Formats: sequence, structure tokens, C-alpha cells
Amino acid sequence: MEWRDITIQDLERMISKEDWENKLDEVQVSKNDLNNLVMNYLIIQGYKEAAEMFQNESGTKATVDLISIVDRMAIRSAIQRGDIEQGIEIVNDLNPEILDTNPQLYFHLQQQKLIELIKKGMISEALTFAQEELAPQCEENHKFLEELEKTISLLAFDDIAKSPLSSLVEASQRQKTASELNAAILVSQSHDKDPKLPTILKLLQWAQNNLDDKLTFPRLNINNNAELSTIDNNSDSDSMIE
Amino acid sequence: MENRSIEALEIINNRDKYQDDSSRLLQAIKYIKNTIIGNTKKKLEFIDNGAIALFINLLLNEKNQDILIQVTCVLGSFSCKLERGALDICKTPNALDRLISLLSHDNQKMVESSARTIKFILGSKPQNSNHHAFNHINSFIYGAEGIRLLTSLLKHNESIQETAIIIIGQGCEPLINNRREELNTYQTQLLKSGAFDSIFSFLAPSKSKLQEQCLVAVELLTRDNATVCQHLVNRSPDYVELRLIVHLAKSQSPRTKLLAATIICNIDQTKCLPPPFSPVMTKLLPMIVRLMSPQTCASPTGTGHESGSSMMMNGSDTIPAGGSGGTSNNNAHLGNIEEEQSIREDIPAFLARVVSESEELQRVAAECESLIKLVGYIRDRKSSNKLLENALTAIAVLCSTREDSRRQVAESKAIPIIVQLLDSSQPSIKAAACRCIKSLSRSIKQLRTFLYDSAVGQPFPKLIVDPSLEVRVNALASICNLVIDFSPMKQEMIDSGVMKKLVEYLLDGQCEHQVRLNSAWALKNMLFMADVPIKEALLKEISLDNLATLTRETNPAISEQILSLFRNLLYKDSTNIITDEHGLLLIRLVEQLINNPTYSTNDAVIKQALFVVCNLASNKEIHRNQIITSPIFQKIIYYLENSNNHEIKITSIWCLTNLVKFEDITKEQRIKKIRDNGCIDIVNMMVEGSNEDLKIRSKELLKSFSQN
Repeated sequence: MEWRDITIQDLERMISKEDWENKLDEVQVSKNDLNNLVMNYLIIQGYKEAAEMFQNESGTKATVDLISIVDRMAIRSAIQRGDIEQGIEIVNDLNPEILDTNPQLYFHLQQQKLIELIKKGMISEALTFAQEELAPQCEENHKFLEELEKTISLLAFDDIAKSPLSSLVEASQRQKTASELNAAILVSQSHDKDPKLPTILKLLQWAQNNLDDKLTFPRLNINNNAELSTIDNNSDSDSMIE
Repeated sequence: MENRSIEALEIINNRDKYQDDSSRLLQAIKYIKNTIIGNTKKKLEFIDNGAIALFINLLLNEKNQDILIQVTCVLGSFSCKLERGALDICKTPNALDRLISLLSHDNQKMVESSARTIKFILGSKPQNSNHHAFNHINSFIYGAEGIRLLTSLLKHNESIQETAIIIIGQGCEPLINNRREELNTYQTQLLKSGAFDSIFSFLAPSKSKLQEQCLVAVELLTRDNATVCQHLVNRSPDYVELRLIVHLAKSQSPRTKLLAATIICNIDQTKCLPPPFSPVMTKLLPMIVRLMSPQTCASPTGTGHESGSSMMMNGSDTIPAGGSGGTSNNNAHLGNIEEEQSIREDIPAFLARVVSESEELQRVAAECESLIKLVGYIRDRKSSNKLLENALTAIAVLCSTREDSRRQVAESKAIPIIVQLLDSSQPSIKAAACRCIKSLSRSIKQLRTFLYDSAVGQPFPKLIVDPSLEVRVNALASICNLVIDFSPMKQEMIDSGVMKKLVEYLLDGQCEHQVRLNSAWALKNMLFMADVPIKEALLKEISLDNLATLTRETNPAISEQILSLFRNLLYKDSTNIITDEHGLLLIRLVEQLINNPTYSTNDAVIKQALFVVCNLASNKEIHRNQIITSPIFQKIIYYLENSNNHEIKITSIWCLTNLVKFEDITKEQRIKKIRDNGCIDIVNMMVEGSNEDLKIRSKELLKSFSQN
């Protein structure tokens, strides 16, 4: 950053930490709303015990039967350890409608199953499975066909981990599939797919960035114990939320 | 079929062997369940191997609740998005009865699963299917017992509530277009049962998914039903319910917004919108039209749901969407595309409906650039059939009265595209394109310029014989404008044999009423101010015998058009095309008609009949004398004295004027007869009346008398 002398205009555009905090204090935020925000995060992210504890301590009522969180987490962990069939079984017990009415999600679960077969080196099973189960689903959807072709081409590599398609066999692919399923379950329970808290933090970040062009003010550094920065220490504007 | 599947079916088939070990049976059922869910190919495989009969057998005989829940679930999956499965289950009325009886079970899971299965069956039943197997399920949902049961399901948990709400919607949908009376009865029954109030009560706490389903149901229940709309408006003081709907119409979610706006439109069109709310539609319409631009649809907030807590927000356009930790979901977008697609299809349909009865709203819609967007849709090759049809329908409605809108469509070079779509492979698109041409051709200017340049007439001879009734009816309606006197396509249409076909339809008593009506209308327009060759051509098509057939028409609307056709045929006939015989026949027709109780109170028909008399009286002496000696003459005097309709009085005066005006040998006798019947006094009274036209015509008539 270039050095230049501070001008009068610059001073006018500055807000001291004290003034800023006073202004912040003027804004009324209801405790209830804040608690709901936390509860929303705990439920959607699947922290059942924390949600229970929070419910007891804050008196904030959970918007959903907390037991359903257990199922959701069991499904997630089944998919993340590669046991797709187990995951499908629990989803169908929870709500048989989800996979019956969501062809894309169903395809991705089957695709994950195929990936698991390939990872285990069960080549002939993988080929049969692709042909018998996945191919018919691709007939109506061109996008599925592309994805199937990509998955099948894993078989062409001697060392999959070094192939350009290695991302398919990594844990992140299971995570992706698990997340898609999790989101569908949440929607079926009339929940948002994503918790609101991170969105609000992003909004804060965006607002601060915009304000930066107009004012010098004490930023809230989210990755830094959420402290207000002082005016002379505001260069840290690239703070990330996660 | 795989070994494991065969084995599972074996176990179910021989379940007596496993009576002590119900877990094996349960396992087999669950195996089948997890195999078929989401997999149509597997469903068909199992159905081919007789699975449905096996499961129905279990449904009817099994006592174990856990097993029974799984059985209903499997039957549900067999009928989910699969007509064949639904049909197979419906073919066994006992199975359906059993499912219905399980709706009253103590076990919530049982209720949930059975209700879901019924929902799937209804969802897979093709709309308006006449298959007798579906009679049973229809008599359930529309019957008193079904309505009572569905209403009681609304008191269960949220998932059951949602299913019941969807089933109620599925009950309304097949009735919407052509079965208005049945729809009205069904809606009113659901109002009386309390179902409507229950559904409405779920709207306020905004749980996005249930809220949307509730809005769908409320929209269907309020459509064209003033009783339900009135109930909604007056349910609580200060219009609490209506204000909630208006609030929802301002929601972030396009679907919620559209549904809420449609409900307000329903209330408006049943004339139940209270005065303080009358400007609402004018304000909402531009908001809905704005949703039509593809950019708005694609924005990350486009499908945002209303949040449960008032402080929470839906994000803003400039904030990157998604990507928040573990639940980030790269596939959510595809779901949104489907949703966007369906919203895009629904908005033009909404637009067409909402503005159809209000010129003011047509203006508002035109001013917020809706036509440009609609034209964009019909221009876009990627538009779905549904979108094309709905966009064309909306263009047709928006151009039905406003010349400005027609000009806008013409200047956007859309007319050649619309003409092209007359040739679509989809009947519904062809019919919608016909509706557009009808609206656009109401403008003489467009008719002579853009429409003529696009050779709009060419496809019509084929369209009026299209296999689809909807296409025929709409094509005939458009032809009415294309064959009118000042149309440059008139001769072309006649040359292509259209007249012959129209006469054929009109003479065919078996033909659909709407087809005959539009044919009569088109012929009438064709004969308006027509040249001698056209009149000759028509008389060649309609023989004297057929003319007599036409005079026996029993439908008043068609009769009115036929009379009007004769009126045009007779107008200024100086060349003796209309023979003495023709004329006498027509006089007999009018005699019968004005004394027929069906028509004697139908002013529109009477007026046209009098015009026929009036034009006959202007042509030939023999007809003038026939008229004055027939009961028609007495009837004319009766109308002058007693009719409340000014137009009928004016036409009667015209008749008398023509009887005295024309020079011929028997003129004096006619004048004497008219005088003797006290007509002068009656006409003198007309001169004193308040209607200007009537005054002028009466004075003219008196002048004719004094000159003699």
C-alpha cells in the first residue's frame, strides 16, 4: 500500500471505535431471534446433543423432532464410510418419497455405489451394475449419461489416485453425495437446506467490504474471535468466514 | 430378475411357512422396497412378476402392523410416477377400500403411509382418464366419506397434513377446465367440512414447504367459487386472511408470490375483493411480470424460501450463494432450474387469466413490457410446448382489445412466428396461435399489413378440418375476421373452399355446437356487404331444402347468427338472386320464430329476425305484401307499443319505413293498412320519446306518410 498524508477529508470519513460501538448498541436485536439463529444452525448441521442442551438452557423450542437429526446423521455417516445401501435403507424408512421423487439424487447415490465398487477393484460387478442399473436412468437425461461416462472412465486408469478424475474417488465425493442427500431430507422436513448463520456472516463481510470504499471504521474480524479491529489496524480485509 | 428378488417374492408368496419368523417376511418386503424406490425399471420387473397381487394379498390379510406399514409403502412406490402400477392397484377395489380404512388407523405411521399411497395413485392417474378402474378412487375423494376423512387427516402431524392437502388439490385439478359445476360442488363441500379453514390456518406459520402446498390448495379451492372467496374475505374482522395473502404475494419466493397473486385474482374475478383492496392487482401485476425475465429467475435468491423467523433474510443478489460448509450443495441448482422452468410456464397463464376481464389490467400488463417478454418466449427455440402455448394465449388476451398491444406485437416482428406456429405439431399450440391471430386480426390495419404480408390465410383451410376440436373451434373463430369485407384475404379464403366447409358444418346437426356457431358467424361475416358472386356462391351451397332446415334451428345463439346471415344475404339485393320462393320461406320462418315462446323473450334473436323482414321489405313487392298480411305486421306494432328494447323499436320502424317507402302498384294499400292500424299515433309518441335515434327514425317515417 502506498503511503500518503492523511487529509482532512480522510479524517471526516473516519469513525472511532467508541462511536461505532455506540451506534451498534443502538440497534435492537431480539434475544429470541438470536437463539433461533443458533438453533437453526445446530439442527441443520446435525448437532443433536448440542441442540438438546441449547433447548433446555435457552428455552428455545426446536422446530423439528430432534430424533430425526439422529437418522439424518446416521445416513450421513453411512454414505461417508461408503455404505450406500445402508444409507438408502435409512432414508427409505425415514421417508420413502425422497428417492422416489428425486431422480437426480437417486442417480447420484447409485453413481456413488458404482464408485465404491470401482474403488474396491470389483470391476466386473461395477460394469454389470453400470449397465443394469445406471444406464437405463441415463436414457432420459443427457447429463446423467455424461456423469456415468466420466465415472466409468475411471476403469481406464492403472492408478486412479493419479488420474485426472481422482476427485471422484476421494472422500470429498462421498461428502458431496452425503450433502445432497442431507439437503433433500431437510427440504422434505420443511427445513432450509443451509443454516442461516453462515449466510448472515457472508452478508456482514460483503457489507463491510462495501463500506470500506466509503469509510474507515472498526471492522469485525470474523476469524479473530470476532473482535473489532482498531482504525490503524484495518489492513486485514481478506478475513475468511470459514 | 436377480436371484435375491426372486427369493424375496418366494418368501412373500409362501408366507405361511414363515409365520413364526415374521422377521424374514419383513426383510423380504424391505428388500423389495429398497430395490424399487427411485427405480422404474425395477418396479416394472416386479410388476411383471406378479408382485402387486402378492402385496395386495398381504395388504388384505396381514395383521402385523410393522409389516402392513411396509406393504402400503411398497404399493405406494409401485404407483409413484407409474400409471401401470396405479391402475393395477385400482383394479382391485378391495385394496383401495383397505387403504382407505387404514386412514383411520391409530398408528400414525400407518395413516401416513396409506395416505401417501393414495396420493401417489391419484398423481399417476392420467387427468380425465375414463378408465373404469379409477371410478372407485374418484368416488372416494369426491364422496362425503372421503371428504370427511381427508378433513380429519388435516388434524394429524405435518407430514400427513401435507399429503391430505395434496390429495385435495389432486381432486380439484381434473375439474378445473371443463367441469366447473363439479368443481364448485367439491370446493363448497370442502368449505363446509372445515377443510378449507384448516388448510388456511397452516398458511400463517411459514414453513416453506407446507405453506406452498397450502397456497396451491387455497388457489384451487377459491377458483371461480364466490362462496369460498367470500368466506376467505369475511372470515375475520379487518380482512386478516386477505391481508396475509397480499403479504405472501410480496414474498421473495417466485412460486409463493405467483400463487398468492393467483388467489387474489380468483377473489377479484368472483367480485369478492373488498373496495380497499381494489388497487392490489394493479400493483401486483408488474411484480409478477418482472419474474418473467430470465435474469430474475436465475438469481440465487430466486427460489429463496420465506424464513421461519422475521429477522432472517434471504440474502441479496450480490452475495455469493451457497458454499457454506458441510451442507453446500452443488446440485441444488438443477432443482432450481426445474422450478424456474415451471414458474416461467405458469406466469403467462396467470397473466392471461388475470387480465382477461379487465381492460385496465391489460393496459398495466402492456405497460410493464410483458408483451416483449412473451414474444421473447415464442421466439426462443428452447421454449417448452407448455411455455409456447401459455405465451401465445397471453398474447392473444393482451391483444384482444388494445390496438397499442397489437402494434407492439407486429412491430416486434412476431407475426411471422405466430403464423409459423399455426403449423405446430401440438394441437394446443395451434389453437393458441389461432387465438392470437383472432385478436390481431381485429385490427384492420394489422389485417391489411403485417398479417397479409405473413400469408396468414394459407394454413386456415387445413386448420378448420383439424382432428382436434380445440383447433377447429379456434380456427373458425379466427376465420370470422379474415373473411370480412375489408380483409385482403377474403377472396383467397373463399377460393380455397372455406365457404363450402362452413356450410357443411352449419348444416350438420351432429356437429359440436361451438363449431356450428363459429361457422355461422364466419358465414355471416363473409356475406357482410358482399358482392353478388359471393351471395350466389352461398345460395349454391345452401339449397332451398337446406334453407328450410336452417330455419328449424333450436339453439338461440346459432339461430341469431343464421338470421344475421340471411340479413346480410338480403341486403340491397337488386339482382334478384333471392327468388320469390326464398323470400316467402324466410317470411314463414320469421312468423314461426316470433311466436315461438323460446325466442319471444330473446331480444337478440328478435332483432335479427326484424332485420331480415326489413331487408326483405326493401327488395320485392311480393314480399312487402306478404309481410303486411302476415302476423309479423301485428307483431311489429306490438313491439312498437310494448318492447323495452330501443333497438327492437328502431328496427320495427325501419320495417314500416321500407313498407311505405318503395314505389310500386300496391304501395297505397299498404299505407292504408298501416294507418288503419293506428300506427301514426304510436309513431307520434316515439317522436316525443327520449331516445335520439328512435326520434330521428320516427320523424323519417312520418315524413314518408305525409308525402303520400
